[in-house]
Amino acid sequence: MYELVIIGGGPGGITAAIYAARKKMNFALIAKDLGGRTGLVPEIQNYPGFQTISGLELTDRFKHQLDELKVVPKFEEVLKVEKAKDGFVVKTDKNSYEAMTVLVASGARHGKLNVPGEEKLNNKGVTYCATCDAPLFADKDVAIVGSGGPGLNAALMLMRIAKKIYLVERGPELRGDKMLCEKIVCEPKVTILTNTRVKEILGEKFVSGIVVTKDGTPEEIPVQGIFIEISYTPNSEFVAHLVKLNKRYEIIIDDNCKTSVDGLYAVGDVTNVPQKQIVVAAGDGAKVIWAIFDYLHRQK
Amino acid sequence: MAAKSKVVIYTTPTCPYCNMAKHYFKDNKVEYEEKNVAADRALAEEMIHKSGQMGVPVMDIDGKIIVGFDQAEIKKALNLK
Ligand SMILES: Cc1cc2nc3c(=O)[nH]c(=O)nc-3n(C[C@H](O)[C@H](O)[C@H](O)COP(=O)(O)OP(=O)(O)OC[C@H]3O[C@@H](n4cnc5c(N)ncnc54)[C@H](O)[C@@H]3O)c2cc1C
Repeated sequence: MYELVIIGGGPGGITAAIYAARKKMNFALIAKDLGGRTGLVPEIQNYPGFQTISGLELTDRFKHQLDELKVVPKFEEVLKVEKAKDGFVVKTDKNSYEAMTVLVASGARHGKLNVPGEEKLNNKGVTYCATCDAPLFADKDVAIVGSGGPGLNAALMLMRIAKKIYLVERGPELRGDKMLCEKIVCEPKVTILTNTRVKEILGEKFVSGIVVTKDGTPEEIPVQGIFIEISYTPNSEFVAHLVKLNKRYEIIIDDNCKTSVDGLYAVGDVTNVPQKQIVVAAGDGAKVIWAIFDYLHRQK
Repeated sequence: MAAKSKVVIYTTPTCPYCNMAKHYFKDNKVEYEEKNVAADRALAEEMIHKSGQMGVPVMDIDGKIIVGFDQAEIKKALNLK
């Protein structure tokens, strides 16, 4: 039986693994991939120690650090965590593991607009990964939906590539980092549409436009690409039957990253901590190991 | 291992899934040709034409087109165990 199973290979899970390895805990790191959503960030400018670093490079450095500590992740998908007599059973697509404590650091996935045309035109002009697909929209007109960190990052990347950019925000003003907002507002290629909602994505084989309502009035905008960068869905399904979630399906945690269940902890984007940031996930990933260490100690 | 497959991967330099796919090929000692669609418009058109879509990565494994880093599909196309 493991003392701890960590679920997730993003900055939260990786930091926890680094601390657990240094405390010589008997633990396993289970993740579908290493890096998580950090790998998707084109330019990270708010992680201390690096003025600018790409998500890919930061992920490579994370991997390196795990290699040096001889942490070998198990690349499996967790399907369910169940309560057992002395702890938990973590069921994956390949195995089943027993653990005294579990740390959920499974992050979140992109949100969908749920409007007509979105499914049909997925990957045909509709994309959820600007970092991946932006170069395919060279000299094209595009729309970005959402003006939080991911939306602004997409805008920054597309400013160098696309012809015209519509940045669509349903609220009254841009939401993300003010320094990024200033850069984007000054760029003549970018048209900012606040109080605006996307109602439909148009196109036969590929995207040809979007229908939006601005202050309630419908309008059609011709674009060849739409980058959807809106609110996330937490990857909390596999513990949803066990722990308390809030309305957004985020796992509710306390100051020590403990959930409503003894021995079950969570950090990062999957939790109700509102700051969805790499440094916050990493910080909590460190903090939680102390809490778990203490908990295990009390059990002995 | 089965007979050598002809593998082409269409990528963009910043795409993490492209990187994962390339790592997967390297780990399994599969030789591949990389086509960077960010650098060359004609290659981007070739990829869109072959796959009927605009997301990367796209893999062409002996004529079978796989969109996204779909390990199960890649394994099947390469006859890997
Ligand atoms: C486009 C974009 C731009 C961003 N820009 C910034 C920025 O500039 N600065 C910043 O600080 N933050 C930024 N963020 C946010 C940042 O990426 C996240 O806050 C951070 O990655 C969260 O870390 P995490 O460890 O909680 O989860 P994630 O990084 O999402 O990692 C989750 C991990 O869990 C794994 N996983 C999920 N479900 C399962 C399962 N069932 N079984 C096994 N493993 C599973 C995943 O494979 C992954 O390894 C950005 C995000 C995006 C998308």
